[in-house]
Amino acid sequence: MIYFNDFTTVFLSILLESFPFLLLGALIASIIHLVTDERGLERFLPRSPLLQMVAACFLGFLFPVCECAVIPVARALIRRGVPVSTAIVFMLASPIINPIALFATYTAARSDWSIVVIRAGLGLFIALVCGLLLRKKSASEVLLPENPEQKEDHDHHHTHGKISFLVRHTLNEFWQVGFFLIIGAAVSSSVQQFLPVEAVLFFRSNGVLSIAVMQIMGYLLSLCSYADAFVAMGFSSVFPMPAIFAFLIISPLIDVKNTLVLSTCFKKEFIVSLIGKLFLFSFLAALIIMLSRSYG
Amino acid sequence: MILLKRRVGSLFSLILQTGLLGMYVSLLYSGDMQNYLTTKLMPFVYFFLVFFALSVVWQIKSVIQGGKESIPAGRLLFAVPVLIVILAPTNTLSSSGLKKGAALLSATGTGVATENSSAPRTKKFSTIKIDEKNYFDRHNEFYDPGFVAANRGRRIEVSGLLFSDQELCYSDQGFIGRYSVACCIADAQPLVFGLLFEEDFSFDSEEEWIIVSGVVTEAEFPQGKFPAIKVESVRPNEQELFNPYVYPPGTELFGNLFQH
Repeated sequence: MIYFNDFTTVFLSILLESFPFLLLGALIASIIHLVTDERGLERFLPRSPLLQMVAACFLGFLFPVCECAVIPVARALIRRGVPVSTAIVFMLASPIINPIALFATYTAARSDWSIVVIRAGLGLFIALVCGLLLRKKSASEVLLPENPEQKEDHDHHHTHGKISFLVRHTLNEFWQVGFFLIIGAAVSSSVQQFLPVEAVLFFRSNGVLSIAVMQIMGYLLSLCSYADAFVAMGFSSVFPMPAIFAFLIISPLIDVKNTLVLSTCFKKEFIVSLIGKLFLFSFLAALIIMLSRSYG
Repeated sequence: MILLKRRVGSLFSLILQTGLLGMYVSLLYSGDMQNYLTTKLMPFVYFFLVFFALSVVWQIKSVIQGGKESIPAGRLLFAVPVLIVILAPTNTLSSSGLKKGAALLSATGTGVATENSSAPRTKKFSTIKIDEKNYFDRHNEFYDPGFVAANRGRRIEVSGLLFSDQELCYSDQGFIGRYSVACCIADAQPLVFGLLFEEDFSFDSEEEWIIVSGVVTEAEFPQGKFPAIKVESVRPNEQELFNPYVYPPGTELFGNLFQH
């Protein structure tokens, strides 16, 4: 009974935290649909694809929401003519570079700026590399086709008022993405409650394995990017620092909850390939930290 | 028939929106929201409340005007959190998570240091009173290498949930702890102190909310040696309302907007 009570408490807390962020993301996505036409955003972006991606990295600094909110926004950006690579860089970089997440990392790292800089630097670098690898992808190659309800929404925009469109479109995004968020929250709460700590500790002494274990932990726990640093640093007495960095880097980029949310917007092959890249690059980043012996 | 189904869909959507709005309002009104979220997320919660309140009004208007909406069966899932809030009492986390913290502590023997160890960051205290404001910092300092060497025998007082675990402590030992919460309860981190009693200690019940006074020492636990509190007195915590959570510095970024 105690375990069930703890499960419902954690499950509810994830949803109570995520729903407002999801709604905010859905509202911003709806505003993008409302105020821009098909290729409306393209003219505001730099010409050079690399400059576009660099700009997208730092846009997250002005957009302080965590990862579940940026997915509908990224989809809206792609639908409004922003190149896939730029939108994906924005989606990956926002949860890392946003000021609240940076401040939380600084606090959790007990005022050690180097941890903040390495986490943000490597996270942004991985986002940029993923963007570069997606340079040739078109919207139709990565996005799922619009469902009839979304199409109806967009037509509704022309026949009814703007406020009506905003409310309807935002709610539809919220219901659609929120469904997967609820499933993700249930999976993540179960992992938190039932994952035996001994199973995790078993791998801590092997440097390379400990990196992989902490990556999987970061993925399964599905923590908000405002809080994951506190959890990661809680493991710093148990795991070597490269493994802690592996957790810190992968956690804001991708997790169970977001994988399910991504599946509402993006094609399965694209999601699998993106997750593979993110795991590979964050593993290599942690490995470089380990080999450079900068941290323990 | 399809038209009727879509009208029922609009009504059902209204019920769900009202349910989600009601869930947030009731948790805020009862003060139980602090058992799930920290205060820094309140601006986002208020945004949710305002938008959903407006959307409920919009949906009522839509239903009255004979609004038509098809509802996928999956949307029923949104009723789950609402039903949990209605049917299950609000809980705080039990000590099962603290036991995981104690297991981590035992596995690492964190903070053990010899008298000669150099630990430039270690603070020296005259007495150490750990309250909810400094719990996070003092816990970190307690496990700094060299803390015991610098503070052995100093008086220390700490409140929290008392618990024991046969695999992690002997019969004259136990643990006390609270959870550090940065955003929501899902990120709760156990902050645990080892306890050493003068003789075998009988626990009246698990989950006791107590204050422990004693002195800083280190003790040999089944998994190894690490810093502990040599207990001189244990008393029920009547000074504070039961709250197993503490908040690390910087988590009240937006101020305390809703606390009762």
